Amino acid sequence: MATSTPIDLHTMPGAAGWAGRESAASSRDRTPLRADLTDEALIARTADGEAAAFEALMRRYQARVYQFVRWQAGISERTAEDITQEVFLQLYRVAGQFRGGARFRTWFFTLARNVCRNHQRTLRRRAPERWYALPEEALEAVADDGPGTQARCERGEARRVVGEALERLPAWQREVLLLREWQDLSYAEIAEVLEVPVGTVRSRLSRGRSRLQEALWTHAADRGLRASGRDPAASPEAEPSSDRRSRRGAPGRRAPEHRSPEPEARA
Amino acid sequence: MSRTGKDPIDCDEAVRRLASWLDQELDEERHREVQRHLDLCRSCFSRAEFERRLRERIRAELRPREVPQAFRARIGDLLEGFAAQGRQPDEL
Repeated sequence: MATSTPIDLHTMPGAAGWAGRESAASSRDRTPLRADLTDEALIARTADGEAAAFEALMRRYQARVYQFVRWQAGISERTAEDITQEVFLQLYRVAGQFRGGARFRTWFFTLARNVCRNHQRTLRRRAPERWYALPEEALEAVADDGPGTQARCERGEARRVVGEALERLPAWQREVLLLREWQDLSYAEIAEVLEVPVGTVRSRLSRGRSRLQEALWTHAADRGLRASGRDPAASPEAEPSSDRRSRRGAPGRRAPEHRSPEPEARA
Repeated sequence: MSRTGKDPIDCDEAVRRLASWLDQELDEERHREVQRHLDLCRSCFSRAEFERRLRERIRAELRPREVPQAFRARIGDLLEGFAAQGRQPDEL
């Protein structure tokens, strides 16, 4: 399979290698991997036995998969690590089954979800684990109470509130939110991963977002932010701003500056 | 309410489409119609802006963080093990 052409890890994101070590893959790969290679190209090269391509995929996806797994109901942090490792093992094992017509991300999260489900089935047969949501974030919120840390604490607190609201969501609403907000999957892709109609994706997203919104508002009200005119996201009467760009750019990017006529000018 | 000759949709329709618009899930024509409405309607613009910022806030709060260092090392060991043994994916 491979001839030995040194791989230029310095062109890859996070070029230091795992835990600061030289990549073990570098000795057996063929052509340099460019940082802009698509996921689909990387999985094809993984299927050919190119470990560096697999390593690159893992770098891209490890945090997202780990967090996705962590949010599955009834999974502890330690178990999440085990499952994430299993997801990547499975990915390596079935890399050759990826078909070019599909988008890698959709295929991969279907795989990740199936691994999670298998673990959950196993867990259900055992005593449930005690699961603490976002332990480090909760610690962050309370650990540092010295001067000048209020903003950090508030941020940690908001994160905890959202995290707890997410935890309270039914699993089917949580999944769809995570796939949308973290993985940037389209409605159709989410529908494919979850094996539900697109309309179901839309309604689950809507309900899930409403619940998180309510949690933020309640938190804000508890802190008296609403009374003081602040809210958790923005003022509903916010004026158009020149820097309003969506996270993916499109609504904001496409939107020309707001040219709404003055109220009295409107019929 | 704010529908004018230049406005292809009314506020109810704009609000109905808002979530899909923010998610980039409308076809080009419908997307443009919502955009046009938001350009003309201050009320709907404010609502859209609020929804967009709220989503960004939620995303920011829930953004994946770096995986623990110990876990990275664990995965690194795994990779090194593959490479050292010269395994192919289908040999696992």
